[in-house]
Amino acid sequence: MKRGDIVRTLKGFPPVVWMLILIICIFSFTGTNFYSVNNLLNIVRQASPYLILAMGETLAILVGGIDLSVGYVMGFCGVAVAMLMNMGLPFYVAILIALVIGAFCGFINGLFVGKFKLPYFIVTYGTGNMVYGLGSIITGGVSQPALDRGFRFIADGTLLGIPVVFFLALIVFLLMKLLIKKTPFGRNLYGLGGNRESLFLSGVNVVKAEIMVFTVTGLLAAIAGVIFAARSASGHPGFGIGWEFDAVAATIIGGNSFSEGKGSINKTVLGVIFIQILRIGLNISGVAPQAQSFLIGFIVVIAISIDVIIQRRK
Amino acid sequence: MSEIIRLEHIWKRFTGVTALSDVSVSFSSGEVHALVGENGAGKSTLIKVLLGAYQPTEGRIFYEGKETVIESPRKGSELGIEGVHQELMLVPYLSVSQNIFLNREIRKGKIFDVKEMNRRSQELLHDFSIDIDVTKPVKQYSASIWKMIDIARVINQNPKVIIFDEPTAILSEREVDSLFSSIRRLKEKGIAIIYISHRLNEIGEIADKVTVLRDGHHIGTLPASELCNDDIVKMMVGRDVSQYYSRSRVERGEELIRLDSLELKKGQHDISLSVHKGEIVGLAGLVGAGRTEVAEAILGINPILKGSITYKGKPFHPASPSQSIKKGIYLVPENRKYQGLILRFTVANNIALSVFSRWAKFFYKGKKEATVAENAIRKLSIKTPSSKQLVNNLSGGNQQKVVIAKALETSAEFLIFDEPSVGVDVGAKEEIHNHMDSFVVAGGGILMISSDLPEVVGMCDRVYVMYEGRIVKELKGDEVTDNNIAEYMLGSKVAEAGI
Repeated sequence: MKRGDIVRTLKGFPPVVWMLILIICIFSFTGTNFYSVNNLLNIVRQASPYLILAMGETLAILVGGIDLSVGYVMGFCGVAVAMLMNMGLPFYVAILIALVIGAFCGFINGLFVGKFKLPYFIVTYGTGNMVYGLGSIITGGVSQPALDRGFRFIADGTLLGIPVVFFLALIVFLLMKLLIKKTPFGRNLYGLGGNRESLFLSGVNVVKAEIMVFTVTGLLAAIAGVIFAARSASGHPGFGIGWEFDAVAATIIGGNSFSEGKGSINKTVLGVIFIQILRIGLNISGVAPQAQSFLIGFIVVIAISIDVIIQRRK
Repeated sequence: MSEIIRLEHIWKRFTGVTALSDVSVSFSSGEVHALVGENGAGKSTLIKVLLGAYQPTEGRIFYEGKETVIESPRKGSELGIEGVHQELMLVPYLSVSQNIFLNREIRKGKIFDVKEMNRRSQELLHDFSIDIDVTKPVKQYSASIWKMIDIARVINQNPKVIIFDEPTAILSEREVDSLFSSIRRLKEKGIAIIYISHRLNEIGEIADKVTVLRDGHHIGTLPASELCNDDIVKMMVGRDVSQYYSRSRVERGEELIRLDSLELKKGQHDISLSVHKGEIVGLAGLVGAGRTEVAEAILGINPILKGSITYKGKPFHPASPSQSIKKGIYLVPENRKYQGLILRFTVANNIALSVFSRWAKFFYKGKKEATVAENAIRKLSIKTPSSKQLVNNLSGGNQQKVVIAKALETSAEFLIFDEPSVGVDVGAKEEIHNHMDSFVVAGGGILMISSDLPEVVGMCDRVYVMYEGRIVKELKGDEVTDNNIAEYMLGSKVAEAGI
């Protein structure tokens, strides 16, 4: 590689990469054990369900929409898997049913936004709240224990010293890459965001395509919910509340755009890593939780501003 | 007539491309100065320099005799240079008069004088013989009315120079006429008009002077009266293009599609037509006469209330574009950017858009897509560096060829072209017509919707004329003339014949 090529490659990096490097540098001074194995494993464990959820959110954003139900769906699927296991079902059957439930929630979202052309914001907000309400009714608002040993292995288990959840997130990521890059699903995904009308007139069943997208988003939320339930050894309908906005934030910080079907899940991965490192870094640097919230909000706004200004320059 | 802007030795270089090379030209008050050239000739760059959106790399601009730097569109506007852009620049949910007076509101003290603004808007639009409710949001009006509102907005700013960038591309003949009469009025008021259009006949009608650009070079500026269309075309392309429409002689085959007294929505009824194999059938009419709606009904986008369609001898009930496409019907839509293409996709992605799901049940066939695209690029001579180029970076004519390639790839037998050559330069227009011709030679049938009368007359075997939602006349053989079509589509013959 010539020097010019290197410079060009570096310039091609999304700004989040530079910000990531920046905060890592800062935290290596401020945080006492930032590079400890324990801390890195911690980042991986916490980031995995978040990443899976955010990849689903990215799909909804790439088609020009948003999915505000993912946090609630995640919580509900955690409840479902816990209760099903408590009813005596083997953990893998319980997981499977929970995934079907998540996908079904996504399907309903897709049906209302795709077929009946209702606004994304309202539909997903509505289904999210319904799912949360339903979860609260069947649990009575009480945490459901999920103590099955096989199930807990998802959260606690390791392979070659690396947490199982890392491999889960990796597998989901690779499958998503395959789905987006190599199948008509991906082509339709970008087509919907890029120009729905052209896609429709070209003979693509856009309603079906959109329902598929939201179904996958729901399925990913369910996977995140199952992993989170395994980690907390319980399910509670309120577990995912607020995560939908974290997912949106990660998508956008990574450099994806709310319009024109621009972006990729690679960028979302960067966004998730950024936010996760920011959280844990602030934590081990001993910043008080109240101040953390403020700082995260502040840094996110600054990060987005830098990104947007650079994009405009281009 | 006095000179108002003079450009001296203007160069504009972008990385790797020289868009303008040593262009010197001057524009005078009270004169309509047409700017012509193929897509990519440098017209857009030149007007952006005039409007202040681009800075020339070299050269000087004199405005009213003084050397001037137009450093921004805002500065241009302050000097009195305004543009009517190709894109529609209105705020959809504001009313007509709010749009016209946007940021230039008339005030009574601190408060907006809404009444006065409405009155003035009404007046401005009346000059174009458009009488609409100016208090309604512009969203509910058609694209051609938007254009007129946009023009009214620009005129309302009392500019000294107005640049029209293809103003007639989406207008019907009648609207073009009223636009021209207001351009003539502006001219009498001493405003300098710079007029860009691909429609050469218009230039002969409205322009006083013509400047021809080719590949960024100034080829010449001549009085319009000394030029005929053939001369202009020769200057534009640097070669002879047969300005005439050439059609191969084809034996009319069996009937492909027949519409029997369709009723679409209120006011659109008695729509009967047929297209045979080997035929190009025209569907003429004013914008808003219901031509596009007919196409959309055949595609299954709009419901059919009454009547029936027979396709290849069997009853056909269109349900959705995907179903119609499976049957061999394809629409090349009116607006390639918003309906035909996905601009952020590559040329290859776009060409494969209608067929990829036929090959790919689960996995997308990237290699097949590339081969198919390469073949289509060669066959239709689409000018693109590669099949991986984003279609957004292609010129209008080449984008249109991509849409046609996409249609041909479906092995359709019946194509509907809605305004096939809008905003396309002369050379590409001829190529598009040739592809249409070879499509029917190969046994296909075409229904062509067009507002370009010479195109309709030159290309079509038969023509149906629509007027206010109905097909009022079928013209065959020698009856297919500009005059006949115009009389029926404007409704003058319709009243006479009591149809």
